[in-house]
Amino acid sequence: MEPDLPKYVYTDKHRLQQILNNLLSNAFKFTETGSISLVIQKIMKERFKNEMLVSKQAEYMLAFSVIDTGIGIPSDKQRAIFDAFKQADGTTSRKYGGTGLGLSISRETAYLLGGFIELSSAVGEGSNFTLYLPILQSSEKVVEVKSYIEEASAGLQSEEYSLDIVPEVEEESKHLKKYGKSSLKNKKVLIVDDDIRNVYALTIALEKHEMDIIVAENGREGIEVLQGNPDTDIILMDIMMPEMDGFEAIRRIRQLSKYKALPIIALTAKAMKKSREECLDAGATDFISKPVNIDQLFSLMHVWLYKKEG
Amino acid sequence: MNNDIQNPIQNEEIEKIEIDLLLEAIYRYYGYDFRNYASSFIQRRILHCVQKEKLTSISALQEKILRDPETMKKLFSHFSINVTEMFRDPEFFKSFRTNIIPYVRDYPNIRIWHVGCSTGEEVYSMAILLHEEGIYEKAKIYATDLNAKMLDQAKKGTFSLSNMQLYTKNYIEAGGTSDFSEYYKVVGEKVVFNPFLQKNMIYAEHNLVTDSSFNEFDIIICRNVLIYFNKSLQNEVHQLFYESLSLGGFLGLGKREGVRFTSHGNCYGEIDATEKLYRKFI
Repeated sequence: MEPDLPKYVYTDKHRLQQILNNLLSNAFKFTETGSISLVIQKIMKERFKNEMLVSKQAEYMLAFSVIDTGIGIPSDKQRAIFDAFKQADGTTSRKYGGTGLGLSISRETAYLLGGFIELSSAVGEGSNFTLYLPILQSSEKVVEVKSYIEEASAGLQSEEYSLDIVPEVEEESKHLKKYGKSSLKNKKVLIVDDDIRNVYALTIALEKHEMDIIVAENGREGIEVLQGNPDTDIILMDIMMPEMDGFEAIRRIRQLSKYKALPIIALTAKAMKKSREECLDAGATDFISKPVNIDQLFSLMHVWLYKKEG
Repeated sequence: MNNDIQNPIQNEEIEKIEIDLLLEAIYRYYGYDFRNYASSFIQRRILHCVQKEKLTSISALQEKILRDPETMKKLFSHFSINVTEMFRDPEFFKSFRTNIIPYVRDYPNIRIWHVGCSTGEEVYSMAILLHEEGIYEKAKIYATDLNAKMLDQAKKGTFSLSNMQLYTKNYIEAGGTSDFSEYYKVVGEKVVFNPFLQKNMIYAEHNLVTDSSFNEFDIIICRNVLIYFNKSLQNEVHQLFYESLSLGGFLGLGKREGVRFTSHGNCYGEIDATEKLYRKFI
């Protein structure tokens, strides 16, 4: 941490944590020897050539650099790892050497916070992922951060994503006001889905309940992420995914004795009765049909996260 | 008088009086008639409950039971009378779906009597099943209990969140074809079922011991009620069911119940002997 950092920064704590967790866990994943460091600096806005990306209100940016001495990323792949999710159909069919996990989500999230992520890397030397965030000093600007998010979710709706998220989210927040804090708070949910639109919409909705969200884009990664997060409270598992589908992932998770009782909710296509039976055989706890109705999902999660006192 | 110098025979007599009074009190206030239960069973359960409640006598328990319905609930569970579950004994509902529905599917309307419906869990289960089979619109479920308090609860269609994991498992095992979560909404610690399920439910007080037949039904469901009655009372109730069922109508009983050794055993054919589903054929 450099000495001239501001004492306070107005931003979204959960989202910032999410991005840093993602960058750090990737760094640890690909660094076998050497070091991983996190450097936080204050940087003048003028330094940036790419003015378009920078929040207009902020004079300074805060830079969070995650620097590793790992395997590095060849320059022709440096774009691709961020674009893993950005294919035309909204799904990703390939994996980029395992680096794809959550990077595109982190980039989108950074954008929502008014910032962006930069990458410099050399094969065999290591990588430097830097998250730049505007330093917003007044509470007025906090509202603006929020409005980015709302804009983003409005965008979701207008592009006819399968999760009809915006009105549901509004209803949810009304619900929250009415009935107080929900018991979903701080529960850790693992979303395993290869469709960025679903992941994104679910993330926004679940964060309204202050849930702790981790993501994976196929079954195999889902198991990896779960192993790294044994305190996961519930899994939302898509069924049709590349590399390892939901059936197989559920079966493998159930083979691990400590996850025998973990609620796994299968996201299934409505008309496919057969796949529901297969889910059940694999060990799914419950189903919810896609497109997911968010209200229904919250009720369902309340049911499966309910724990008897004592 | 000091307990220490009371002799055991006196104690036993007092206890017997206390049990009789307690059962009378429960009957008069809550409407549950345990007065003709096997006495050693009842005695054991009551004493167990006295201990659990940290009380010193059955009389003290009686006072608590009259003033605090929660204590009554606890005694209920000591009597191992499971208050009820949604899709209780899922195989029953599965069998009902596969073996009874095909017969009644084309009826112009379907009249169902749920006897001893308690807080309504099985009534809502039946409504969901009929809805999924696409015939709820033409069905009417008459749900009765002798206890008005239970009926009030049933009418709300609101159940405790604590049982929902079990209910979901039951629903899936019973062959549910949808997401169980499509039917409910969680509000705090309560689960509110979709009001459309209540549309064709009719709740009424009815006492099996004293009230007579009030309609003719295509289906009568009476599960885990008769086991608490003695033989002669069971036969009276079977007479009532027989009178209330249309020819070709269906009777569904509880797991440990059956028509075989009753006064009307010869009037029914077996649809599913394990799940206690019968059809009246004479």
